[in-house]
Amino acid sequence: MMEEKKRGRDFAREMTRGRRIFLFCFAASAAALVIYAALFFYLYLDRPVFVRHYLDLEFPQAAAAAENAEGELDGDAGGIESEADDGVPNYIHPLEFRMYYLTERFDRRIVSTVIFEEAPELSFRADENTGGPWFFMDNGETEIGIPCGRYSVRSVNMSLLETMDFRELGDVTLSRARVLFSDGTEMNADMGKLILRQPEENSSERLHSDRAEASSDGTGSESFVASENLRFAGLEERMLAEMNGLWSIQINGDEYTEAVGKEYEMGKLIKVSFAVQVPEAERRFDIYDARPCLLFENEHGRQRRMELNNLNYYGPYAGDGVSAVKYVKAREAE
Amino acid sequence: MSEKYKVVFWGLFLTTVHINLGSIQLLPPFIALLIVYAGLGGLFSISDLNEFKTARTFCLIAAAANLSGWAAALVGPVLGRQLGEGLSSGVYIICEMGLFYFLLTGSARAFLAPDLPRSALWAGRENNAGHSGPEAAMDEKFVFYQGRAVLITVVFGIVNVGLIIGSALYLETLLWLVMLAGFIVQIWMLVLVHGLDKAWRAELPPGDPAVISEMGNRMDGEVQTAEKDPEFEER
Repeated sequence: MMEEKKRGRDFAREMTRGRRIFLFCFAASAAALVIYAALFFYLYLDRPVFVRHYLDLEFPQAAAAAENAEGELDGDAGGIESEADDGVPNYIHPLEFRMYYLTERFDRRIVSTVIFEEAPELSFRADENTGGPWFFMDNGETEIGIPCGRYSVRSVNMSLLETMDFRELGDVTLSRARVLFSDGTEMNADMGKLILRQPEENSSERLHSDRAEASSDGTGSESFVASENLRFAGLEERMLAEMNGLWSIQINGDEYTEAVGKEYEMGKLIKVSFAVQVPEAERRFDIYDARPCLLFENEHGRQRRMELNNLNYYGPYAGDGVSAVKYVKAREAE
Repeated sequence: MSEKYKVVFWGLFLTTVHINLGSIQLLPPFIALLIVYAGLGGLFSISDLNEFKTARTFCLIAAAANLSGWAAALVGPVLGRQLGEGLSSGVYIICEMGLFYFLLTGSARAFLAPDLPRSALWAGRENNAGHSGPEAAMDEKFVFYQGRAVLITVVFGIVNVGLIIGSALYLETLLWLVMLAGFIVQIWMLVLVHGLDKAWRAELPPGDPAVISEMGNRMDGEVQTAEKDPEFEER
C-alpha cells in the first residue's frame, strides 16, 4: 500500500515537473513571438531606401564630336550621320548605369520611372532586374533582387534616352530623384551624387596606361612608360569629400599628396597603385565609381591627364543582413 | 485506442509531408490538423483524460493559425502579408508544441488509467524496480512517454525560439538548422505515435488486474501468440 502511494507520488511529481518544463518552453516561445513582432515593426521599411550613388559619368559622345577627336575614329566615321533630321545628334556610346535600392523581400513593386529634379529634361529608361536566384521561391513566386537578410537589394538599369543635344547642358550633377513604382506609388530619394560631364574633346591630352590590373579586394594598379619628361601636378577629382577615407593612391610608392611636383623622366615607368577600403556599415551599401584624374605637365606646360577607371566600390554586393539593417537605420536617422 | 492513434498518426504525417501540385499544396496542414483533431477527440472520448482535450484545443488553434497564414498570403499589402504569415507561423509552431506535449502526456497517463482496456503487449514484463505484471509494464510505458513528452517539448522549444528569431532577422543558416531540427522532431513524433498505436493494438479488456497479469504471464511477450489465442479474443 505504501509502495502504491509512493508510486503515485513519483508519477505526480514527474507530471508536475513535465508541466513546468512545458510552461517554460511555451513562455519562451511566446516571448520569442512577441520579439518577432517588435523586430518586425522596428525593421519594417515602409518605403525603399536608395543607396547613395557616387558616380562620375560622361554624357554620350556625339558622332560629330567623335569625328573631330584626334585619333578616336581616325577619319573612318564617314558612314555615321552626325545629326538626325530633328536636330538631335547621333551618339556613338549610350550612357548606361545601374541604380540600387534596398526594400522588403516581399515587396513586389518595381521601379518604372526615375526623374532627376536637377535636370528633368533628361529622360532615362528605368528597367528593373526582376530575376532573382531560382532557389529563393516564395509561394511559387520568384524572389526579386538579391536577398540580403531581411531585405533584398534591387537593381535598376538606367539608360539615358538620346532625345536632345546634351552639349547644351554642360556638366550636370544629379542628386535628388523622384521615383515612380509599378503600383503607382512614388517617392523622393537621395541618390548621392551623379556627375554627368561632357566628354573630353581633345584626347591627345590623355595618357593611356600600358598595363592595368585590378583585384576584387579593391586594390589595383595602372602603369605606363613616360613618353616625355613629366611633372605630377595634382589630382582632379570631383568626389574627394564623398570618398574621404575610403581610398589611397600612390605613384611609384609615394602618396599622391606627397608626389605633387615630383618629376618623372622620359622612358621611366610610372606605376599608379590604388586601394579602396570597405566602408563602415553605415556606408557599406553605397556605390563609388569616382574616376579621378591624375594631372601631369610636360616641359612645355601642356597638361597630360590619366584617368583611373578601376577605383570603385560597389556596396550592394558586399553587404550582409546585419550591415543592411545598420545601413537602413543610419539612412533613416539622417 | 489503437484506431484513434492511427488517425492521429496519419493526420500528423500529412502535416509533416506536403504533397504539392506545382505551387499548389494539395492537402494544407490545417486540413491535416483537423484529422488529428478527430483522432484526439476519439482518444478523449475513450479515456476521458483532460490532456487529450487540451491537445485538441492546441490542435484547433494551430489549424486556425495555419488557415489565417494562408489567408494572409493572399492579402496584397506587404505589411499584412509578411506580418500575418510570420505571426501565424509562430502561433502554429507554438500550438504544435502544445499539441505534442499534451498528446504524449495524455498517452502516458492512459497507461496508468485503471478503467481503460490494458495493452496485452506490456503484460507480464518486469520493470527496473523488479516489479512484474501489467502494472510494472504500464509504469514503464508511463515513464517512457512522459519522458519523451518533456524531451520533445524542450527540443521543440529551442527550435521554436530559433525559428521565430531567425525569421525576424532572416538568419538563413539558423533557419535551415532549426527547420531541419523541427523536421526531425516531427518524424520522431510520428515514430512515437506509431509506437502508441502498436502498444494499444493488442488490447485486453479492463477489469481484474490479476486476470490480466495471468494472461500477461502466459503470453510473456509473445504478442502474436496472444493475438491468435481464442481465449484472449473471447475475453
